[in-house]
Amino acid sequence: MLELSDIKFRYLKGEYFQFSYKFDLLTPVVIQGVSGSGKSTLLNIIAGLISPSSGYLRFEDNDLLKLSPSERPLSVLFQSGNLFDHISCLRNVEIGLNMKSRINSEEQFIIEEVFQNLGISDHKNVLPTEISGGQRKRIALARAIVRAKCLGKKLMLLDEPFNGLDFETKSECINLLKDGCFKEGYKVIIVSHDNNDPTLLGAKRVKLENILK
Amino acid sequence: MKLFITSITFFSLIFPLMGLSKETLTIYTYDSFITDWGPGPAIKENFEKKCDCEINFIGLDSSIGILGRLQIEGKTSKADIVLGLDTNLMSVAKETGLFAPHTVDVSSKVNLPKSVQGKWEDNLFVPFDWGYFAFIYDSEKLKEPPQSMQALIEDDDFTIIIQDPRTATPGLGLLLWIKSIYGEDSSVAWKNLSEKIVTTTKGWWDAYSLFLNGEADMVLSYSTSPAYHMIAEGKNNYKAAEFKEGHYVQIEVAGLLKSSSNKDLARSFLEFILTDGFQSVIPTTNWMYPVITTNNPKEFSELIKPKNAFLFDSKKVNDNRISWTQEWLEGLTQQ
Amino acid sequence: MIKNQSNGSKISISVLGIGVTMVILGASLSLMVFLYSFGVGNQTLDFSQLLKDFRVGAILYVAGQQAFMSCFVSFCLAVPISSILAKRYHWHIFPPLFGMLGLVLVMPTTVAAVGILKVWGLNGWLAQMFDTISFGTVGWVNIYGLHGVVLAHVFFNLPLMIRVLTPIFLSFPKEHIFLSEQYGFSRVKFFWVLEWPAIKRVALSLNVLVFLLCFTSFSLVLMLGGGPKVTTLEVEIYSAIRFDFSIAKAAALSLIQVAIVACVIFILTFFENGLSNNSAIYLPLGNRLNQEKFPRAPLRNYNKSIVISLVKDIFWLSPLIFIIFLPFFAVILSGFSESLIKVLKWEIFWESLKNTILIAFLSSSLAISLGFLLAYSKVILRSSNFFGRNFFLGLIESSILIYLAIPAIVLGTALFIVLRKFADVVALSWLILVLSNVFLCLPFVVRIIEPRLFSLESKHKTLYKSLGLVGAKKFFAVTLPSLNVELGLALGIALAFSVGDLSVIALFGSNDFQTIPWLIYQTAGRYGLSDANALALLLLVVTFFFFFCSKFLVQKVCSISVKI
Repeated sequence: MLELSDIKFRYLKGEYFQFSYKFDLLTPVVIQGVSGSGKSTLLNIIAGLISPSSGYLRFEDNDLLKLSPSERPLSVLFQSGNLFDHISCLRNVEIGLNMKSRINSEEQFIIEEVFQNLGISDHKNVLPTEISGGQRKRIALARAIVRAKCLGKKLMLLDEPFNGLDFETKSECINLLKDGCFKEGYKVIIVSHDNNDPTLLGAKRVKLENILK
Repeated sequence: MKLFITSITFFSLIFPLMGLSKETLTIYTYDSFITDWGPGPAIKENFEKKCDCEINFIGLDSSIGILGRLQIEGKTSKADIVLGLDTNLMSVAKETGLFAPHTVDVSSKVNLPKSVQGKWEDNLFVPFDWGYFAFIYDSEKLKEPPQSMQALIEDDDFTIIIQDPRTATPGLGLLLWIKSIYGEDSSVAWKNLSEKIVTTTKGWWDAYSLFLNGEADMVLSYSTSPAYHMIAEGKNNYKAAEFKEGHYVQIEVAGLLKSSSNKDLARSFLEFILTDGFQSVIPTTNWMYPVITTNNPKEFSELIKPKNAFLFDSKKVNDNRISWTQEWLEGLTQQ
Repeated sequence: MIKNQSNGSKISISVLGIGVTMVILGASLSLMVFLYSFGVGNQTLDFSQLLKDFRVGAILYVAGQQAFMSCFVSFCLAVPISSILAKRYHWHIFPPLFGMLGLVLVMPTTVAAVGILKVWGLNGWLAQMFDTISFGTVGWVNIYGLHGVVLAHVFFNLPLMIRVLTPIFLSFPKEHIFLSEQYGFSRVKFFWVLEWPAIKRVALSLNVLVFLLCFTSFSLVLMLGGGPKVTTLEVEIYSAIRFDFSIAKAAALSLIQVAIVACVIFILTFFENGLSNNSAIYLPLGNRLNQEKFPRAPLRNYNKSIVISLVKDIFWLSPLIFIIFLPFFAVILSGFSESLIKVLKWEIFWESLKNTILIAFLSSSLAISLGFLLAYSKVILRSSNFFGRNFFLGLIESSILIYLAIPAIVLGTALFIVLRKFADVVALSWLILVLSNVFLCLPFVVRIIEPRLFSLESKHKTLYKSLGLVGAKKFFAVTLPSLNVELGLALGIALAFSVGDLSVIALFGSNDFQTIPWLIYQTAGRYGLSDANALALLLLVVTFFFFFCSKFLVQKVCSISVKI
């Protein structure tokens, strides 16, 4: 369960947000709202990439605000800029395993598996600049899943993860996520503007207005 | 932008034409001579009063720079007079073949130390000021300055800053000074001296600034430097160390160019140099001794008066300066 | 249709650029050869004897050593410092700090050296402080020697490196920073994964520039070197002209220097292309330096280490304080005396100021235009692929660095000899000054503009084509405005150099055309030391003012150009 209570944040330029909500996360959650209304801000705060000025943030009885971003049990997928352009896709994923320079064989196996499930095995050793936007998204998604499997970071915050994917690929990803939620206990929060997504995912739909005060 | 460039070009072309009404005497000299607080302005005023002419000073970056310029220009130089070479450069200047005899009766008017008599006399050049090279120290910080070059070289208590002889006249002066005292043993002298040298700078300014900031006990400069501090700043603590063996002398000279089209005017200027109108300006603007007997400021009487003065004749300097500098380099770089 | 248009303008720019390069290189080389023959005409010279007789090998070794150490130390300090400055961008001290770093470039070398020694010298502030702390038991280091020279070079070059590197560090997309925090990157990993790829290309060209600057340095080397043991080829060349009166020897030595510089340049070009392929090119949208900056992890309150992080950062920033800020402060302090008021009353000061400003603006606008052209040519060549491309790139690079290769005194003497035949040299002295300023600034201008220009062109290639943005339209609507930060910096630096430059003009002699640096040298030449210090302080003030203006000026120009 993820609980936000009176989380307040103000940008330098003056925009002000206040969030309060309880996510039970037994099923995935899709957050919907108008562009610029604070969805990315919300995700960033949960991830620890920006700090609220006051409030409580708890995940399964842990006070997240005390933890630095790398200590929090979560992964974030951004709208863009998810991959480092000058290292291979495989390496991009490996890097997500928190500083390990040597990947043991078990982890390697998991990575291979996830790559296959997402249909991107061919792109392992190329640079992100050489593949399409949709393929890059899948690599980023693979990284999040690998982190969940290997490091137990099961909370996933995905910002428009299916943008740019064709219907088939999107379905594959969605199924993978649903599977993961069910079998392995991923807790997924997705930000999306597509009205069909909650149904496809079997997710609970939450409007951003309900989170904002 | 275009207008700007055009007008600048226009004016720069017009400008030379503007001085044509009176006779113009073009004098090459070094930069600091012609600054507002240097000798230039007063001398210009004094001479122009007498001659009904106009002096056009052209300031070059150093005395060596003047010579370099002449060498390039050769016979087509526009200068009438060259003012600011020193005795070391005289021989090189002579070799250019560009100078004409001055016909001024110098020796009867000039008053220089006896031991250097004869070595600066020349029919091509007229001396206009002179001074001793000396090490300057702060008497409040250094209570017992060395009293001889020997003491400076042997005692370990002093640190000095000097200039590179290849780039600054005092540096060359020190080179010749040591040569005058030690002759064949100069390289040994330099080796011993090198331990006390904090640094060798490119110009006089750098060295003197560092000394004033306390980086070394003494700096190589002129024996007249304390006069500046006394007169302009009212400070009495800077003094020159007087060396038993004697001091090397720098005499600055002026000469007339063969290619000048104003020879008569130029010669009268050279005569003017040895008069009060020129010489009285020198002490408090150029901070050197005048060459004729004249009334110096009273502070000048407090300056050191070495018993002995050294001066190599110009030809000897010219013939040997490269090998002597090599010797200096070796003395300092091999340790 | 569009393809032809865009290619057309690209080709014409690069051809123009190469053409200009040829002119520059050709002129310089022929000047030198001419000088050599002129010299030989008057004197005899045995070239091989020259090489033997001269400690050329020893000189090159020492010069190379201090140059290498200088650029190495500068770079090693610049990277962590720039990284910290980028991280703590929101500090209010940032803009003035940045501005101050640019001022360092304008200081006449002697003034700066005296300032550095005032802090680090045998009787300097640090020495006195050390003395007090240790009760006179432990002596302070003797800075004169190789270390002193490196210190002084770092003083001049570290600010330049910081100013080039920091904007690059500021341009990381925020997502990449977030990723690094998510994955708990250690400091080292952060460097390897994020920072190094972004600065790889620039690092090489920057270091080469600094190396060459230090290799050809002159009065700093003499003053802080402690003696003739530490020297460079420039010293020997100067000595050849001024002491040996041998123009031929000077020309011969210059040719050696040019050969060395040319080698270094061609090696640089060769490596630079290799590095291009693996470096990250960042081009976030919007005006980078005004982006919302998210404070990085150690700055947020996780109940840990805000203070430790601050202390660590200040520790890494401390070289800035000791090496740059303190000497800078020393120079400013020595300028404050009664002389300051006295100097402000001098008519000649205002006269020089006026001339200095005119020359500075003229030089810097020419420098920027020329620099832009050459940078653009380089970028175009770089993104094309034809046989001999590297050769042309090397040529362009050489023309940019020509001023470093050929000593001012040689160039000046040669120019002088040539120009005499055509005109009154004294009247033309302002033109020579402008030209020499242009070439002095050129390496810096190009270094600053090129990286971003390259990023712009390569990232948005297809976008331009699809929008039909080619040639002049593209230039005014997109290219120029996107470069406004770089242009501001380049203009500021060009102005700074032009204001503080002395160089060639010293050879020409002029009683009418006075600039402030020259006034400083004149004043100092006859005991006017405190006046000279006051003038130097005023020079700094003027330059500071220029930096300010140049930013606004460039922004104005860019906003106008967008409307074209």
